[in-house]
Amino acid sequence: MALRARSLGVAGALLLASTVAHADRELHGGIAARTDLRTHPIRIPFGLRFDQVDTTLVVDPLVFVDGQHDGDLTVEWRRCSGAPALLVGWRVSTIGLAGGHQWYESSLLGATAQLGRWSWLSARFGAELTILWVKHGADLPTSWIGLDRSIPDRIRFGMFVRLEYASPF
Amino acid sequence: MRLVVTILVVFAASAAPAHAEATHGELADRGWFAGLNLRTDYGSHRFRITTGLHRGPLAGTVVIDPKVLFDTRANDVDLLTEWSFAPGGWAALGGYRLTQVSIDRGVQYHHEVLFGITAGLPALADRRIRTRFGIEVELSMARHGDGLDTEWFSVDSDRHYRDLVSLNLFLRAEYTSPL
Repeated sequence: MALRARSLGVAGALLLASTVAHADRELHGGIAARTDLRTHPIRIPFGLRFDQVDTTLVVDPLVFVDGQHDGDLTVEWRRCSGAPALLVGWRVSTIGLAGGHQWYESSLLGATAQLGRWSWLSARFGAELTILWVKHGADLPTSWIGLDRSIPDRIRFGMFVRLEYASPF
Repeated sequence: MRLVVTILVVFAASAAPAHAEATHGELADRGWFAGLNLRTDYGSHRFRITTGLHRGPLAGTVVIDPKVLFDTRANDVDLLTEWSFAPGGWAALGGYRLTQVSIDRGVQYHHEVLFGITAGLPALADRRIRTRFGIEVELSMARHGDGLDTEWFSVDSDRHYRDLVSLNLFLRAEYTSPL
């Protein structure tokens, strides 16, 4: 019985491990995980890739836990399929405060690279530089980035891993 | 458990990263490497220096902490071993970390066990510099020193579990060369 389960596991793994041709157009969605404290550790990315350009929206299911939402809209450009990609994007974080919601608006600049691909499962690593440009809302004064002591808190480096289902369409 | 390990091993061995070509050093039977270990979480200091040797699929790495030069009471040192499934590809990682924490009365020592995986990212500089991604689970096995009670790893309570286990991501950029 154990041998049979093991054989099935190996067969399943080999099936998933079989390579597929990279499609020109792809739909993808899955999980983005990170260990730094700039956003929630687990979020949900989904998006579309047309040839070299991949557009992704990242939503935050943990908003239902603590009322904070970290959403990203990113665009990635790669020279060819499977190559590392240049990433640009925008992050909007909202935090519930006594006076309402405060909004944090940040730009993203970075790179992603494919760690591996097993049939429809794709793993990507990403590194990003985040610049927090403005905080506003919740009846608090709007705070723009400036050359003051707070600037190290507004420019941060982050890393993430995305595990996604990816399918041609 | 063995089934899960078997599946993970087959995955890791079969999924070569798309554009992570192995460097000249990685392709050699024996080689050395040195560079930077970067991270964004709080498992250790964010910039550290790596150096190591590999023979065949087995690599040994020492990660040292340059910040100790500025504060001799704060230090994070790792001893790592990796088994590569393919040159420049995925590897299984295991290791040990000694953390010295500077507190009011002196130094506390944390002994941590590490295990995880690493994977190749694109090679740079005509395949002389490799970049690698890693994910590690850190178990703090013992904390002692400085007159405080010695604390051992335990799963007795939620507090023990949450304080003594962490998941960390890191990025390595290293010059590699055959020996």
